Amino acid sequence: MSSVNFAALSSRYPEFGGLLAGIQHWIDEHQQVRILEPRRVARDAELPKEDVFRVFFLLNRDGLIRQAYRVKDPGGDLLPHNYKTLQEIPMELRNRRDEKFNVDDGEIVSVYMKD
Amino acid sequence: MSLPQDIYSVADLKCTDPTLKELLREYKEIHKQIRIGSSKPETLANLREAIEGKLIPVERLQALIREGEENGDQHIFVYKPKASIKDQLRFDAVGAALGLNGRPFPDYTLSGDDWTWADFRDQAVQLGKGWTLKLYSQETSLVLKEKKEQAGPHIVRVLLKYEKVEDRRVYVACLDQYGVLELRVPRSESRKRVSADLATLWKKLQPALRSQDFVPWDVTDVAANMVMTDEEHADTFKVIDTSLWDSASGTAKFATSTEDEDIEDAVDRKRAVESILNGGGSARQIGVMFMSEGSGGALTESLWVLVGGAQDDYPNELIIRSSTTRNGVDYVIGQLRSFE
Repeated sequence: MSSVNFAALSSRYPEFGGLLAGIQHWIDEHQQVRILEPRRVARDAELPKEDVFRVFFLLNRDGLIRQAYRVKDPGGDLLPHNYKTLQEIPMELRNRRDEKFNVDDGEIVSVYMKD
Repeated sequence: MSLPQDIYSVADLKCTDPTLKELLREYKEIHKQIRIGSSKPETLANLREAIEGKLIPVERLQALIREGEENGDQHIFVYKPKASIKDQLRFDAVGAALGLNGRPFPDYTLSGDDWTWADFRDQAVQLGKGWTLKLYSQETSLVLKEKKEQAGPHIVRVLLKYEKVEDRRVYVACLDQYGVLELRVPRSESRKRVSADLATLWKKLQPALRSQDFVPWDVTDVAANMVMTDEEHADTFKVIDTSLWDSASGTAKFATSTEDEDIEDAVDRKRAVESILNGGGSARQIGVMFMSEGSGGALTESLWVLVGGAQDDYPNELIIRSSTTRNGVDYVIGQLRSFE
């Protein structure tokens, strides 16, 4: 079970009913995953990306999930560290294979924490 | 510019403020007059006062420094000694060959660019067998702090601001409780630097230990076994990255989307990895997250370890990506041995 009460959300945002069900299904299938990346959820669950971003924005606004920033290395691998603000992100980081890279060559993504 | 060489300056560099405060709090239970302090400089000043006032034994701070600077954030090269050199590996034999027996350790002295002997201790009592030997070098490095671009009509000026950082680099050789020789050098993005550090460490050890008397322990076989059985060990570790050789020396890389997942969580990915490993391929390097919850207290935080070298020359390399404790490193080596 996800920690977010999707039944209550569906009544609050009826326009996203189907979408919320899809997101809930994805979360229930990936219980070990604490990090929600909207693009990944949209891709895995075959949901419209823009709508998934909108739902995550609303869940974050309602305090049900917490937003953070993460960095993807130039190869597209997501790195584990969460940053509360963009200013906290260093200019250089090490990728998963411990090779240093310039963050400008990677990508900064918004992620959301379930708990 | 040279680094201060007293124990409190070393503690400032190598120990965290919470760790130092914990030591002060422990002794405050016995000596109420001990003060803790809010900032790190205050903590260090209070620690100095307590140690100089004989309220805290200096050995406790020495032990904290050892934990802080010897374990983790390192490349560890592992070797198995040949049976023929068993006697040469004894603590007193190594000390005699290197001229270290009877010297007062730990020694925090630095000597410019030269490496200095910093510690040599027998660990037969704590670990059942083994010893730890440590060297220091001093280094100045430049760390990129700021990058500014000023765009003009025809040219773009790029201003890079670097900060000069003085560091005490720590090199460790230890014969661990499993009889494995571990050579530990600081993490570096330069492979050339890592190779040079390893070569210098061997050279320093040469009077006592010769590289030809040791066999590099190929941990890539261990890595393959870990990948193939990781589902059975889900409470202990997760494999989050694999870099593989296929049967014709082509390469394939698989990575999980987040560090919370295992490489075999997705059925298609699991099939692909197993197909390569069962079809004559082998592991080159894997990224493993050893989980604190499943470590029986050996790890205080989950530990990210790369098993196998970034370069093919070093199949006996582990990269421990953050600081940990002696228990933490021993736990990882013990885990790897169970997958041989």
